[in-house]
Amino acid sequence: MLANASEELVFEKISLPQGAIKSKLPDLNNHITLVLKGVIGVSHRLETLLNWSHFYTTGDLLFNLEIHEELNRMETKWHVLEDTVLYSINTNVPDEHPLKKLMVAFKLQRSLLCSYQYQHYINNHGLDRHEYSVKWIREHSKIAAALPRQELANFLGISNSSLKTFLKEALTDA
Amino acid sequence: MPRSKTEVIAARLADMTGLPEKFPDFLSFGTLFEGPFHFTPGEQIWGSGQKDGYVWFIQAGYGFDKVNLEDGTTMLNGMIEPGLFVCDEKNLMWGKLTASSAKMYTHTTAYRLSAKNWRDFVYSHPQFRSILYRINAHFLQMRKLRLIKLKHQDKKAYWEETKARFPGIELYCTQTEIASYFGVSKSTMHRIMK
Repeated sequence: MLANASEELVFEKISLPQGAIKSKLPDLNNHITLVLKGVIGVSHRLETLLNWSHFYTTGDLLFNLEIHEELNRMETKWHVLEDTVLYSINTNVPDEHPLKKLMVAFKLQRSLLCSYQYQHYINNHGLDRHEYSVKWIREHSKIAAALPRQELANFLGISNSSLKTFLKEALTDA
Repeated sequence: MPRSKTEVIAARLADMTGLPEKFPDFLSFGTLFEGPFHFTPGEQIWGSGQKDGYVWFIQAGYGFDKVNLEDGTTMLNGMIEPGLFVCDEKNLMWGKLTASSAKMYTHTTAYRLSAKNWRDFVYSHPQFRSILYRINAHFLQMRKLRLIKLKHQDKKAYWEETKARFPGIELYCTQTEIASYFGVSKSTMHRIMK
């Protein structure tokens, strides 16, 4: 259905250069956005501490609601860690559009997924820290290498000394 | 005067959004719920592995919901209290088998709406859909805070805060379930709780 009527949708490609920091991106409101290539890290502030919660990589859906300017009390920001290209579909289509129902479904799913993704990260923190951290470092070695050690330890929710041990383990087996 | 199921649900939505109780979509939404269903202490509202999922509205009663993790363990997710709409999100979003459970520890009165009927209603009511997006946006902010607190708040202080909010939590959840709520090992949790 999407393939047959795709020419009636508005697709956009958006490039974000490495080093860019975004604390709002209203252009993506009402859009379904996919990371075609690159890495975006998401940081939040709790009192004086700056924390990473997750990293969007190739193939991930991107949710700009987390940096919505009116609601963003935790100073959530997107940090473009590598040159990034986004692919975006505008879901705001007129009522008579052949894909109206599908776009409504996409928009609803986007809204649900956006808050569910944080539940997913919360659930990850219920997993064994050792096993989870080693696996994450192995699967995201480039991101792990790019982050200062203290920030990586904060992201994984472990101490600096645990990080040292886990890094050694992840790199040895790799 | 006792209020009907529809009025109770519409009043709660009005309370959450600041819109009037008589807002037509709230009344139509409330009408769709089945019930009341009554649960006794120790009974589950839903369990994991169930095909049929529902959005539940809790009129009275307290309990806890727990989530199944990838490693086969269970994590305490939060408290269920009067006025909440609760559901298994994986079931609601993708129609998957439920991957969580909700057990009440006091006498409970609740109403339910099937995930399919919920979705049909949301699709056919654009104003309600916009309200839902706003509610979800606030919910997202709460989850951001929960995630960062889980990682970085002093665990002893977080435990004291949680205990004050959910009195008797240790009677209804295992130490392992509580430990995963705080993102610590069981032995660390044991030390914190002492």
